[in-house]
Amino acid sequence: MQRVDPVERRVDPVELLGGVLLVAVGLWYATYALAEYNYGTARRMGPGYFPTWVGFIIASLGGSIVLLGLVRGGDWPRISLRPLFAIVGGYVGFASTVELFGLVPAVFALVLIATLSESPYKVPRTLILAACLSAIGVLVFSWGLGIPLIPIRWSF
Amino acid sequence: MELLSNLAMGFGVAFTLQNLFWCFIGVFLGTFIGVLPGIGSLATISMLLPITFHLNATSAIIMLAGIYYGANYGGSTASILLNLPGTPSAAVACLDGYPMSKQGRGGVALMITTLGSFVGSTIGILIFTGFAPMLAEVGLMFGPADYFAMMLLGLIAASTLSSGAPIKGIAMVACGLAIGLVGTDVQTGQQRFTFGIPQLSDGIGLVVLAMGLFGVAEVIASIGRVSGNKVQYNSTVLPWRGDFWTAMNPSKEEWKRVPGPMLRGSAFGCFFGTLPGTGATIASFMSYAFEKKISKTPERFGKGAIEGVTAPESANNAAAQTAFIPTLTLGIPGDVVMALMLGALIIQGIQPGPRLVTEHPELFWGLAASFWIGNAMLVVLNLPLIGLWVAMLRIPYAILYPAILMFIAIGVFSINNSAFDVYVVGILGILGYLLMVLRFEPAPLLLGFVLGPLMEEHLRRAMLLSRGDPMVFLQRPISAAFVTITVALLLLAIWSTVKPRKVRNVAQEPV
Repeated sequence: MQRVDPVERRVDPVELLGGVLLVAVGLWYATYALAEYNYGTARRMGPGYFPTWVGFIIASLGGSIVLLGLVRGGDWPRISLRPLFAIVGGYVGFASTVELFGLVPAVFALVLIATLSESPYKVPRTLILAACLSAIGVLVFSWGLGIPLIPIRWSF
Repeated sequence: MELLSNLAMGFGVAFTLQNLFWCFIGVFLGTFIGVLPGIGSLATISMLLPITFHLNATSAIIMLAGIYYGANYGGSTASILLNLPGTPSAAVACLDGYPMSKQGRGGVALMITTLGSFVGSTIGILIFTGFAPMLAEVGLMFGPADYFAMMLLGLIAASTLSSGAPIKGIAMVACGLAIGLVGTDVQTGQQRFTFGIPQLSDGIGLVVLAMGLFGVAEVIASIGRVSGNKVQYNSTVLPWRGDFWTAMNPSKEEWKRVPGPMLRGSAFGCFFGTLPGTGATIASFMSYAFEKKISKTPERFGKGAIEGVTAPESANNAAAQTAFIPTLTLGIPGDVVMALMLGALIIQGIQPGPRLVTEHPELFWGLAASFWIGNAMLVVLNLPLIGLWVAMLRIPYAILYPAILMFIAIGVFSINNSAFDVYVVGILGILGYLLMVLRFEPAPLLLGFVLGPLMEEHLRRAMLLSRGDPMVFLQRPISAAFVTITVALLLLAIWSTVKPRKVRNVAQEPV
C-alpha cells in the first residue's frame, strides 16, 4: 500500500459516499411517499405520514454523516467485484433453472457459477462438490423435511 | 408452588422425543457455527428459519434458541485456543483465554468457561422463569404510547451501543424502518413502495432480508479475505494431547478465584440481556472491565487471568437466556437474533407479547425447560468433544461457502416456492456487501425492519387516542421514562462522536 501524505487525506471517501447515498435515498423515499400516498393528519395518519418522516430522518442522518466525513481522513473503499458478480450470478442461475428443471440442475448452476469467484477454477473438484451438495440438498430438504421440491424435472 | 408445577409441565413438553431431538440439533449446530469464525448464529438461524415452518411452534423455537445459546459456548472455544472469536460476544475471551492457552493452561480455561457458561445460563434461566411472567403482567398495562417509546429506546440503544459509529447505526435503523414499510398498509390497504410488483404486496420477507444481508453479503466479503487460507494454529496449544483430564483440572488457587467473577458476570449478563437493545456482547465487555477494575492485581489481566475468561463468559451466557424475556413478554426484541426469533413466532401464528405466557403456556414453559436440557447437553458436547470442534476448523472455506450459498438458495426458494425470492436474495446480497464496504452495520437495519410496521401501528394508535397531541409520550410515566433514557443515549452518542476525534484519527493512520 502506498503511503499518502496525511495533509492530502482530509476527507473520508467512505463516509462521504455512504452519506450522499443516504441523503439521496431518504429524499427520494420521502418525496415519493408524499406524492403517492395520503399524508393525513397527526391525529389520523394516512399511509404517507410515517414513511415521509422516515425518509426525512434518513436524509438528515445522511447529511450528518457527510459532515463527519468532511472533517476527518480515510481511505477509499476496496470492493472485490469478482466474488460479487460470481455469487449474484450463481443466484440468477439457481432462480432461472429451479422451476424449469428442478433442484439438482439448479444447485449445479449455483455452485458452478458461484465458484467462479476463486482462481484458479478447479473443474473436477467443483463438479464433485456440486454433486455432493445437490445430493445433500435432496436428502435434507426433499426427503428429510418433506418439502415438495422436485429433484429433476424431465419433461418441460 | 405454581412455578414448580409450571416448570414440571414445561419439562413434560421438553422431554418428548421430538423436542429433545430438535433441542440437540439446535445446540449441536450452535456449537459448530460458534466455533467456526465467519458464520454466526444470525446467519445460521436465518438459514434454518424456512425449515422451522415445517415444525410446530414449540419445537421450532426450542431449536432456534439452542443455536443461539449453543453458539455462545462454541464461540469461546475458538477464542481461547486460536485467538479467533467465533462470535462477537466471545471476543473478550481472547484477551485472557489465548494467553492461558499459550501458557499451556488452555484446557483449564476451557473447563472454567464451560462451567462459567453453565452457571451463567442457570442464573439466566432462573431470572427468565421468575421474572418473565411478572414483566408480562406489567406489559399488560402498556398503552400504545408506551410501546412506541419502548421500541424507540430499543432501536436507539441497539444502534448506539453496538460497535461502529452510532450515527451510522441509527441511519441503518431508519433504513430498516423504510424497508419494513414495503407492502400493504394494514390500516388502509394502500400498497406502499411495491411499484406494481405483485410479489411485493406482502412486503419483503424477513428470511429473505436476513439471508441476503448477512448470509450472502458475508460470503462475498469473506471470499476476498480468506481465499484458500486454512486457519493456522499452533497445535501445541491444543489441550487434548497428553493427559486430557488432568490438563483440564484447575489448581486449588484457581478454583478460589472463580466463583466471584462467575456470579458478578452472571449479574451483568442478566441485566444487559433483559434491557432492550443491549445484549451478550455488551454484557461480556462490561463484566470484563468491571473485573479488571475491582481486581487487586489488574496487571494480570490480558496475560492469562482466569477471572478475565470466567466473568465475560458467564455474562454472555446469562444474557443469551435473559434476552428472551423482553422478546417473549413484550414482543420487543433486544437484538437482531431475538428479532429473528420474534419473526419465527409470528410466522407460526403466535404473537409474542404480555399474553404469550398465559395463552401459550406449553411454549413458554417448554422453552424454559429446554434451556436447562440444552445447557446440560452443551456441557457434555463441549468438554469431552472439544477435539472434534477444533478439527472442524480445518474444513476449507472453498467447501463451506458453496454449501452455505446452497442452503440459503433452497431455504429461500422453499418458503413460497418462489424463484422471485431467490433473485431478491441476490440483490439484497449486493446491498449488504455495499453496506459492509461503506462500514455500515447491517444488524440495526434488520431490527428496524422488524419493528418498523409495529412502531407505525402503535404511533398511529397513540396519536389517535391523544387526538393528535404528541405530548402524550411525556404525560404517561412509563413512556416518559423510556423517552428520557432515549434522549440521554442520543446525547451520549452525539458527545462520543464529536469528542474523541483526535484519538480516532491516530487510530486510523496506516501502520
